[in-house]
Amino acid sequence: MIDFSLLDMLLMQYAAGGLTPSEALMVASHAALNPQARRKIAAYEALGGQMLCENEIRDVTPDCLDKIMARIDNPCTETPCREAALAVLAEDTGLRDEIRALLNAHCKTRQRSWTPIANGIDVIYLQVSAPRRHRLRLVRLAGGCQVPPHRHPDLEITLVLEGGFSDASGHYTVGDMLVIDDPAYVHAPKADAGGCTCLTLMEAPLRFQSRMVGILNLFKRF
Amino acid sequence: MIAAAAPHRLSGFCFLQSICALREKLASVPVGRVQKHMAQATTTSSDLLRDSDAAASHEALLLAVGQQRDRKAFAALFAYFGPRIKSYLMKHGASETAAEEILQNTFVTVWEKAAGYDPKKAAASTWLFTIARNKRIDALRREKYIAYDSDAPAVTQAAASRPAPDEDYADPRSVEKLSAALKDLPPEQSALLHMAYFEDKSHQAIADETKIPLGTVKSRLRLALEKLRQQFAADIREGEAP
Repeated sequence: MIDFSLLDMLLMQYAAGGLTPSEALMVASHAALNPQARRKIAAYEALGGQMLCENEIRDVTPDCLDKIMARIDNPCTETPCREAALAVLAEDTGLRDEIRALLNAHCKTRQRSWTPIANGIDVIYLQVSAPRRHRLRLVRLAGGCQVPPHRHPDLEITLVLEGGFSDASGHYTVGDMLVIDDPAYVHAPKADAGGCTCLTLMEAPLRFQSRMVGILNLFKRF
Repeated sequence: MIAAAAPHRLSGFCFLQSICALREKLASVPVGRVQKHMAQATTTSSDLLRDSDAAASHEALLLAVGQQRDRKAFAALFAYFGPRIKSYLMKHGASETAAEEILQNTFVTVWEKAAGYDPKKAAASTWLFTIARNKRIDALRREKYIAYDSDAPAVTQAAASRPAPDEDYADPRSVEKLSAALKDLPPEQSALLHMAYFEDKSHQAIADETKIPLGTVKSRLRLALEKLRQQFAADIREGEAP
């Protein structure tokens, strides 16, 4: 049931530069927290470097190096416009600085802080440049809070930022990333006693199982 | 299917751990034996040794550029990597003109950032690959590569259990091993890996183009990664033999 290689594939694609911005942001956040992820990404970058060395060659035009040298000798003096932060997540969100910095640099949001959407569940909706259909959000579960059983019609990636949670597949703590790519897989994550904050990416809205909470499907807010 | 990166679960699965282990193995035997062992590991031993020397000199060249602003070293790096990066860019769909423009941007950045190059952290080819990759994404996708700050300390407890510092993958000999393992992949797997690295294709796009079902694309790529890991494990075992 557990397919570890899905996560490896994601890290490989990140190193290759093939992920969408929303997926890349998940992996960058994972790497910001997790040294194991960094080492893997570095290995996959080394693989890219090696493939580059073995790549076929395309002759460059004779004056290409001269043009580069000319640019080096006359560096462009105009100051590159600094990219303005897109989002302004407040310090009191309780997010770690490195995560807040990544999200502020790459996501938009109308929220500065948490909004409760259900008892014990707070969220901040984020928007990444692409693809639009991807749903990125911060979710904060109060201690012991359990999300009703649901499944994910498409890929879902969850990164634990604070605390931890458990589902049938195991227990996850800070820096752990869970990739679900099985439309039939139903899970009901439960936060540890100390609560849990996650960054989640869904490539399609999740579907709740029970009719009782099926009404939530209408809102598609999760 | 589910993939998880709980630290306690990934032991033995980490590709890089294999590289680490391999490197330790290589470091523990005399140089002569290392070269012999490496020569045995591939069928083209003379090529390998020559490439190995060349790879070592790429690091030296890049250091000369960074430390001494050495233009001859810069030109030598360009002579080797320029045509390869141009080809990389064109495979990603850049026109010839666009490819040369991105290539120029890449090497201007190489010149600007070379002072920060640390051979303990990455092989020269790795470092150049990441710059070319980022310039490609800037230019061809009009996006920014979303990088994390690799100099910032990681926060998880996994930091305490890491087997070795981040330098592991920097050894050119480890990279040579990657290369050898890569050559041993079945063609249908290496072709897909190539598409993932060189053609900026999503799994869906690869599936559409090759008319291979999406599930098969994913499983073949998984097999390719698994094979690379197994190859590493086999190399280490071979190194242990008398």
